Amino acid sequence: MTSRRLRDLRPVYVIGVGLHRYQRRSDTSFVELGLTAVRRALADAGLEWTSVEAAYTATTRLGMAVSRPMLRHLGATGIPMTQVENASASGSSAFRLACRDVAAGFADVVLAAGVDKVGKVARAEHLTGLPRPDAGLVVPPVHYGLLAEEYLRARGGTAEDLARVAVKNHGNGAANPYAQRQKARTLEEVLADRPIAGMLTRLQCCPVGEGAAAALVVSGEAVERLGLDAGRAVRVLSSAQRSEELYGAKSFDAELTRTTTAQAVAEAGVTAADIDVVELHDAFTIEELQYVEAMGLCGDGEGPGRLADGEFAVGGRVAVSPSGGLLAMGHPVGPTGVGQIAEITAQLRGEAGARQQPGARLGLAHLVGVGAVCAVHVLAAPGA
Amino acid sequence: MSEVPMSEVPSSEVPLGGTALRGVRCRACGRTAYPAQEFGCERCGAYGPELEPVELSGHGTVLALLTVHEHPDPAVPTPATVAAVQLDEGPVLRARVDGVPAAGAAVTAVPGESVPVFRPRSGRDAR
Repeated sequence: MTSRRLRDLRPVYVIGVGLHRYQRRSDTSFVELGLTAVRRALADAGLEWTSVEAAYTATTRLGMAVSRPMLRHLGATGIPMTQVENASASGSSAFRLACRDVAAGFADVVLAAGVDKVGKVARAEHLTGLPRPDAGLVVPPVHYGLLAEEYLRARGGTAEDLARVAVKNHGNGAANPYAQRQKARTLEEVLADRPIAGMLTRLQCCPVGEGAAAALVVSGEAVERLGLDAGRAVRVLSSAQRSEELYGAKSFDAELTRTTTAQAVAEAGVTAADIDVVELHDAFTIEELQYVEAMGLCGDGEGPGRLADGEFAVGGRVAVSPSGGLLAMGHPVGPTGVGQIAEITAQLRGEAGARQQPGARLGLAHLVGVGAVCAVHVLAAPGA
Repeated sequence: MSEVPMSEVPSSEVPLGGTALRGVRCRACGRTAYPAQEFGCERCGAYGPELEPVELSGHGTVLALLTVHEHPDPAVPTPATVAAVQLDEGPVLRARVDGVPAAGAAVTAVPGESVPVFRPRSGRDAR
């Protein structure tokens, strides 16, 4: 049997988005972070909390049962609440579940939220009991640093090729009031910053702080019944999620991105060349170069050249990480995937202000979760 | 420092691999993998006695290497040099290296304090 695509079911729309600024560790309760984002999303949508029929909350470091201690302060309505964890892709998966609920007709109005604080995290992969020959040396910046060395060596690239990703994304973050890092950086600053692993300097590694994001997903029936603004409703064309396969010596992050993006784009009925605005998993600069190629936004090995030509800047052929991406907007983990949807929604509504990609009609959001999973969504502008 | 995303599992809690590279060969599909385990073959799902423990040669080629400048675990001395090594039998693993000049070098695993360390293979430092 062929599985159904999102588009084979009834249309799904993002009708409201909200963020709490991503920031360094603070004394602010996760309840305050989360409620700020959810209330902003409700206001943005013109919806009352009593209209929300289900909630998915993405989180990775707050422990069990996050939804209720936060959402109870909106009034007890008895709706189903579920926590979602998929590492960096947690928020993307929460959004995907909300979309599937609405598409299938289980609900007309669903909340996808993400909230996180800085805290300890345990990774199951380290608890398998199997030996690790690196003895714990290979933390994420080392993993991606090794990929950077391999990528640049194979293509004759330079440290500047990597650093230009950070320059672009820090520049975008400087125009985003919700970004953790809001300071434009020069190529020299990025290159001369403190080295972390190999060529990766601190400004080429995302900050992991705290924050919250929320998106309200609705059916077309809900838009009519509740008198919502169809002119600001962003349609979700596709939702793809895959897990890692065996790729030999190839980068699993890039290969998993390749297959998942191909599926999402095909199910949306578009091609990679049609996409106007992309939010991707740029936790480390090397990732953006790998992923723009794996997604087919440019040819293999063309990433550094196209980036240097301005093709991925706001105003370029396709804006990549206009929010500042994980590198500048930040990566509080639970909220990150929902925050991408907030940015794409703002872009497709033409409400992104100084970060606005002119004429953006199609957007794509992509995250990988510790190499194990990948989630990609394609969204379309109102009336597109 | 705390801004940079890093695993917070201290290296002292990480199971050690010993000094020999013990892998596994699947009798059902022929795949050789590292490390040794009986949970199941990642390609075909065969498990238990279908997975034959094998001693890997320890010979491989460096795909990439770099210097770790900062590490979240203070017990891990930095700077340290780590590499991605493709073993001659196929699997790719990450491990500490010593005296390896550049990617592309032919290396072999030697016993380290608790886990193997890769050194240049004598007589053929580079391919």
